[in-house]
Amino acid sequence: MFQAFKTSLCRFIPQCTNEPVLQTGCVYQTVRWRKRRTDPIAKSKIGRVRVPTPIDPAEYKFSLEKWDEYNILINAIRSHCIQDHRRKNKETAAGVSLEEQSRKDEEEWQKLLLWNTEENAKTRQLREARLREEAKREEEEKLQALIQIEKEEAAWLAELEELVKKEKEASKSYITLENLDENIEAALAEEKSYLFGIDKNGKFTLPENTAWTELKERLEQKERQQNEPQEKTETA
Amino acid sequence: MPMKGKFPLRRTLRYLERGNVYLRDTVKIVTINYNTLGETHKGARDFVFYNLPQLQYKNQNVQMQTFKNLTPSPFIRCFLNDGDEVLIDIDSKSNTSILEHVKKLLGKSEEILSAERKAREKKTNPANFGREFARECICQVPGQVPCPSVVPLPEELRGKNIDYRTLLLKPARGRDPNIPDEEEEED
Repeated sequence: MFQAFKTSLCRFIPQCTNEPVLQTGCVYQTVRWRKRRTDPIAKSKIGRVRVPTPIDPAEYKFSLEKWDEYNILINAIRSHCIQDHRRKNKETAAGVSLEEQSRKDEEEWQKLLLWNTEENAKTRQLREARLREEAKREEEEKLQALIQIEKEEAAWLAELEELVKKEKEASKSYITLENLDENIEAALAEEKSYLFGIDKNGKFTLPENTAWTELKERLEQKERQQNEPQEKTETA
Repeated sequence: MPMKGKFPLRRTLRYLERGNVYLRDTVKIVTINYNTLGETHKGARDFVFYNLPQLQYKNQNVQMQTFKNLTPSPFIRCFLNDGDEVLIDIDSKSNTSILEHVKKLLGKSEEILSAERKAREKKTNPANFGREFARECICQVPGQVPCPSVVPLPEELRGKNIDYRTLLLKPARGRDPNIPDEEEEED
């Protein structure tokens, strides 16, 4: 084989080839080229009829039927292995397996829920305290209002009582049918002069008759009252 | 877009992007009950006014609903997957403390957020091609060789047209390691 090539190709050995060169200087090629469809058939192959490869019919039938099943199984196993491999890589990258991770997440979530309930309880307590304060304040205000009302009523009643007292006292000097005659005679006996003067300042100049005793007393009392605050301011 | 209404800054992207509470994936609905009057509801009102837009912007797949003047005290009720409920009492709390509470209880932690960010980076890396990435093949990129299933490659780039005969008999380029340097072998 080599010798046949040696004569035809030795001449064409270039300075550099990628094919292995033997010590004798020969180039040997394992595959020369692929014959194209349009290339002529080799002389030794003209008239050659290919003998079909022997096939065991039972084996052939079995293969045809079982090939799909086999492929399905193998592909399933392959994808499972790939997923497993990927999952392991992820887990090793994360540092924790998936199950553990999910368990951790669940634990954390439960902790957070607990914390949330505690916070809610705190808020609730604050709210209840505030509501209690408000209720207290309202009660007090209501009570005060009632007390106020009572006071006012009592004051009103006291006023009325005073009026009634005054009237009762005054009623002693009322002229009734019984003492009508006496009063008429007393009035006729009194000589009241209505001719009295009045100052610019409103001061009366009463006549010397003692008929105006009550008026005189009232005027004197007023004067005294007026003089007292003046004295107080003077001393202060 | 003109600035209309109360505090229209709430409707700007700059304000909305400042939200930093990302709710967990299990949270689906958030309802807030509060009153329009009352000192104890002030925090809740502020929360709804200032913080709820930011929260909704960052969690667009969560339904957020407000209910006014139904209950004497304010609260937040969240509905999770599997029908779970979470109740947060916000009576007499300020809006900042309410937000902190929500963030602690229902927000994603920094670790989870950074892991998600990393995963997103891998997806957004334009150098990756495949089924789970943005582009399945480089032929989808404009300017690259189109898919040969749509536009056939030129003859010289197809494997079946390689002329091995001329290829192998052509002198190869480069230095052959089998032939030692500075020596001429003669037959």
